[in-house]
Amino acid sequence: MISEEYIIELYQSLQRELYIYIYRLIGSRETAEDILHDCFLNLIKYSRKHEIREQSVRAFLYRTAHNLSVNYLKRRGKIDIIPLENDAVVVDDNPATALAYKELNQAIHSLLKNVDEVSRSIYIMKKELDLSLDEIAAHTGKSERTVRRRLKGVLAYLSDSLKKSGHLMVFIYVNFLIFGCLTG
Amino acid sequence: MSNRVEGLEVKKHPREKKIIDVVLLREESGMTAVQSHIVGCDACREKYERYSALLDSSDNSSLAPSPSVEARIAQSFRREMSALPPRKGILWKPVLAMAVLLIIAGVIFLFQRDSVQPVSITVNDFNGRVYVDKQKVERRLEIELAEIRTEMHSQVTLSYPDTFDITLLDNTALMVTEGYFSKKRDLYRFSFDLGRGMVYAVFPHDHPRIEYSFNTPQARIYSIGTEFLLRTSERESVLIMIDGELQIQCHSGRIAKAQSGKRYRITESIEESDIEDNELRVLGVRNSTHKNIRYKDDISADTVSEKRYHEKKGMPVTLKKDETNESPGEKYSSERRKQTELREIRRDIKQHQRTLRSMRRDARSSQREVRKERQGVKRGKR
Repeated sequence: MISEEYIIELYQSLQRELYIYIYRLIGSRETAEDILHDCFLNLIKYSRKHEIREQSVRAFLYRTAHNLSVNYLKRRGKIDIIPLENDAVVVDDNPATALAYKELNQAIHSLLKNVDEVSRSIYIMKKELDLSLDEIAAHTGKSERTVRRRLKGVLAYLSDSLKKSGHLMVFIYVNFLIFGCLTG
Repeated sequence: MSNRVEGLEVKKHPREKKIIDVVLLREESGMTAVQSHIVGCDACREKYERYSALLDSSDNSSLAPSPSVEARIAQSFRREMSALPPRKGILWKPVLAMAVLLIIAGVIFLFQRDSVQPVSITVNDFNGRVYVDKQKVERRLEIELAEIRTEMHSQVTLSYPDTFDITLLDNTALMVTEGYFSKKRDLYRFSFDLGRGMVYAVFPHDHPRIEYSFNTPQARIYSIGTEFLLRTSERESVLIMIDGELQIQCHSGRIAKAQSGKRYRITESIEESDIEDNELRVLGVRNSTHKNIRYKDDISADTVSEKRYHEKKGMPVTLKKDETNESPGEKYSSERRKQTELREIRRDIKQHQRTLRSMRRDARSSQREVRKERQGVKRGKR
């Protein structure tokens, strides 16, 4: 069984990325904390019967987080749309850009409920944690090729949907305008 | 539209999949032809920006779990540690195994007690000095498990109705070690230890409901049903098979099947020989109810050697051939001879019948031919 010191050390190094991942999947801070706690509890229980390898701990925690989050979402029956006030954006001081960005993110998260759980996880890992494709592959247990294919699918779906609703164009336009002004 | 960056040139707009690839691998590879095209093409740059915007991370700077989560994890860890039962498996397994064994033993014990009924063996036809469990037998009595002993010129018969008669001859010690009826198997089971001396036993033939065995210092002898004489001493056991079949299992491990008309000398090995003509008389069964056995009192020796034997024993013996009283061995062989003769006669009769039938057939066919010839002759005359 792993030691308490090791668990705390592991928690301190991975808490933030796991928390962001869970939060972005389910959209609730309190539940994300509960799931984060349950991830580590599962690790403790698992270590009672199995040997824990340092290389696979991170992947284990990500997979547990994914499973617990998906179970939670299935129980809830829906994905919470992350409220604007909870998702403060500080891209820059320009209020127009910030607003466009918030709206875009909100639209993305509302569209994500139509995507399957694995693709959603992959997308969040890429978007929010900026993990490389091979890291995502290791955490999800999929091949790198599958990860790329799934990501492309999500991006194409989101791009089409957002283009129809106009969110993306507004954001790009605002971003382009401000970016152009600043550089110009 | 065409672009030229480091010798790479893409004239057409790349497909959207290629642009997504560039977005996904933007930091993982160097400048490609597609990337160089994107730099110079507004339409493709717009697409690139669109996909990049979808992968731009949200502001997660304010996202962090509260410090209470760490405390909760530490608490959970300690709770899990304390929940581990020390050496649980090692303590419980033997206790559980013992309990299961005790239950099984109890069930078997109860089952055996219920399914077995002891049977009483009758001690009768005694003369001389006979003892049952060291008490002199004065009258007919019933015993279960007991030791029966006879002294010089004494004998006794143990019997169980329709099952067996065992006659203990002079100086014999026999212990009844088993005698019960098993309800479950619907079977009578008897076991005897022959310490010394000689017994003459008659059991029904091939009775499926009776099992018995005799233990001697040299062997265990058991059977399905037979008639035999068994004599034992410290050195050897002698089994004389009068009828039926017996199984002999030496304590040394050897096994042999004893057949009627044979004599078996059992030491560490088993020696088989034919029963000598007067062996049964020499062995001297007295007062047995069996018609095949002649007794020492009215012995008439057939051979000179037999006469010498009895003279040694101090018994008055006349050398006289008794034609009417055949020994069991003689009777057995004569019966077999008769049966063989009978079979041969039957075979001859059948052979004669076959010959007769074929002769009749031949006669009939020749008669038919004669008739045909006669008819032919008649037609010719006409």
